[in-house]
Amino acid sequence: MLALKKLSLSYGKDKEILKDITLNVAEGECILFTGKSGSGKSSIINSINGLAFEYENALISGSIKAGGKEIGNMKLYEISLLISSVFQNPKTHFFNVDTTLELLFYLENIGLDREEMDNRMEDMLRVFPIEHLLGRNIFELSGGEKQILCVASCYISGCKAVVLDEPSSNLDEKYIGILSDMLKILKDKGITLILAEHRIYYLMDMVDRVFLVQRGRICGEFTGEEFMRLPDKQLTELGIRPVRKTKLEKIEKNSGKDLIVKKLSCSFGSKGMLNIENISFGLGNIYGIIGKNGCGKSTFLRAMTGLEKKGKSEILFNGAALSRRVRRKKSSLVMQDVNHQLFTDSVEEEMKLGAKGLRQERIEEVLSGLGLTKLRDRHPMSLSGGQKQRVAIASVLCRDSEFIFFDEPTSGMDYNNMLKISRLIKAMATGENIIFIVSHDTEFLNETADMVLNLEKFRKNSDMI
Amino acid sequence: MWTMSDNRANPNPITKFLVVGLLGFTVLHSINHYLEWWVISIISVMYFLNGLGKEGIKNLAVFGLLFFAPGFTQASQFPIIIKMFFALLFVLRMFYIPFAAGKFLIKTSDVGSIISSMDYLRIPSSVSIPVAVMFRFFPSFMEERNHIKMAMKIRGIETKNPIKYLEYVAVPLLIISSNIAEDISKAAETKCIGNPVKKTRYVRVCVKPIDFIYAFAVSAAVVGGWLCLL
Repeated sequence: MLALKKLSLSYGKDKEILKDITLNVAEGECILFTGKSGSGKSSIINSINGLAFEYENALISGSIKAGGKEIGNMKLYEISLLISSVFQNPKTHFFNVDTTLELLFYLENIGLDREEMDNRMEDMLRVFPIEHLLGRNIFELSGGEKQILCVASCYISGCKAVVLDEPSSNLDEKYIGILSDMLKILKDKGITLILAEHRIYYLMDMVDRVFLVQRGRICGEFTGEEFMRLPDKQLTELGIRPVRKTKLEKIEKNSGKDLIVKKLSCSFGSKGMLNIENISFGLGNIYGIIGKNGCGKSTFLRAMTGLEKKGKSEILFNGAALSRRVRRKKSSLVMQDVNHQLFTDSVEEEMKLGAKGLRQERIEEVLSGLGLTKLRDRHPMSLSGGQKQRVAIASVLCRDSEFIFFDEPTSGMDYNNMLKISRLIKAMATGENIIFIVSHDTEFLNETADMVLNLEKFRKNSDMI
Repeated sequence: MWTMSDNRANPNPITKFLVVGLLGFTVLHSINHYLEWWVISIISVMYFLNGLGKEGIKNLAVFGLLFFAPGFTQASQFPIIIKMFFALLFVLRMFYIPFAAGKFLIKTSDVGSIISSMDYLRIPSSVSIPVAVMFRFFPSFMEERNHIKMAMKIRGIETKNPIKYLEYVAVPLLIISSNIAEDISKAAETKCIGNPVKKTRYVRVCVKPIDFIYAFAVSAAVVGGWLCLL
């Protein structure tokens, strides 16, 4: 089905990403590339689906053959006739706004007649019963629903191979389960699956071979069973997340009486409402905020930070009521996509922005603590993803806020980077602040949070999610 | 026929494009004031029928504000800065009617129906695809812009000074816009949009009663508005 021979990929002379990758993938096989962030997993996926040639101006040597044809000599649409793609973040990987039209879009572009489109749709709905997702606006879907739609559109295309680049990174446990079931069905139908992933437990009962990627080379090849037998210590050293599902060890309980949410409610129209009453949080603690995709975690975060205009809230801090405006002043937020929150033209300016009465010594202390001293004059947007995240954390530290919020800080991160972020957040916790982390990452929450708050129990009509 | 977000009160994009084109002439040749209100009311009613009542009210309110702002004659008595401000409002008012129709077109048109309409008019794909990508870009752009606004608020960045605001918002918005455009192109290309075969469209472009009503009501107002001023 697919043959990679001595594949090397680079961006210019000094930036070699992949080196001498040689492997064969049989029809119907499920293979997994895993390894640390930046090891080259996504580059392998992008070489196979052709995006590295067209969009990244990558210099490629060696050969990639799909169905006997050389990928490098094919147009992107010719590759897409053989191989479907699922991306890490499904948010912007839809062309249509209507979900039904998105499913049919590929079929329209290959010129199928209406009757054949109806047949394919009927067949897809028999295999994946997702009628409830038809005719919806993609901007109203949760991350999990979007990813389901992506996988369904791969099936409806009729392609015999699907490449998936970290498809679970934005999903909760429930949707990871659904994704896993959908992938098993695709495998049973004889479709070749090629995945790059950090979070691998959900793939272990279907994967045929696992390739360990390090610094752009394949440094290990295992069968699924062999990989399952690797000791946890070895996996941790390799920066790989556990091969078995991790259980959440943190308990759900109210602790402390410093910040009291007497009432917080927000309606989701026909999809019910989030209604929180009498919960409290204590200074110095780190709270994990959990719940299914779409249960209201983002709404909770916006309401707590005073950014949500809709709904009612009555929140007390040290006995005094906090208005929305005061909550906004006392809060800091590190967003999932930190590109949204970097505004100035140097790292140092970024730290000063919005931080009143900030002393130079504090700036130096934070810069050195986060390893940003050498980058202080760089434009934040010119930094790598991990460095940008540290800049966002630095700006939060400089504000000395009482309430610090993190939205999915470890999405798409390998085990080692996850541990680094965990250490950073734990170091931020003082007796003068409360940290809230919205996350689906169980290993990260076990490592970082003192307690968790599951928002599902405050959600009325949660079956509508 | 599968469930799609279709609304009988939503005219097809061709009608909406024609209405925008027709209203564009009102910039060159203004129409009677009462009939200006008539056109704005039609657009607001269309918003209501398409479940966008808030937009309908906003449309009326903004036009009301521009309509009742002093014109050139009255503004000439004011100091230069205020005069410049009212002159700007006057220019905005000149363009507001076609702008309102264009906004209605963008807010209520799906990429699929736009491509189908352009195929129906035999517009080449080298034109129809970029136009469709442009339409797809707006909702993503708005979503990302809201995230940036949220980040600015929580950082305590004052947004009252428009120049300072632009300075802060420009860089993240440009980077994110470029990412959105690239992601949409990737989505389209991996779904074979570049395939040179004759494409089929599941959504058939059809003319519904609302197309006649919308086109006729606006045309009557524009032509009537010109005749009134003869």
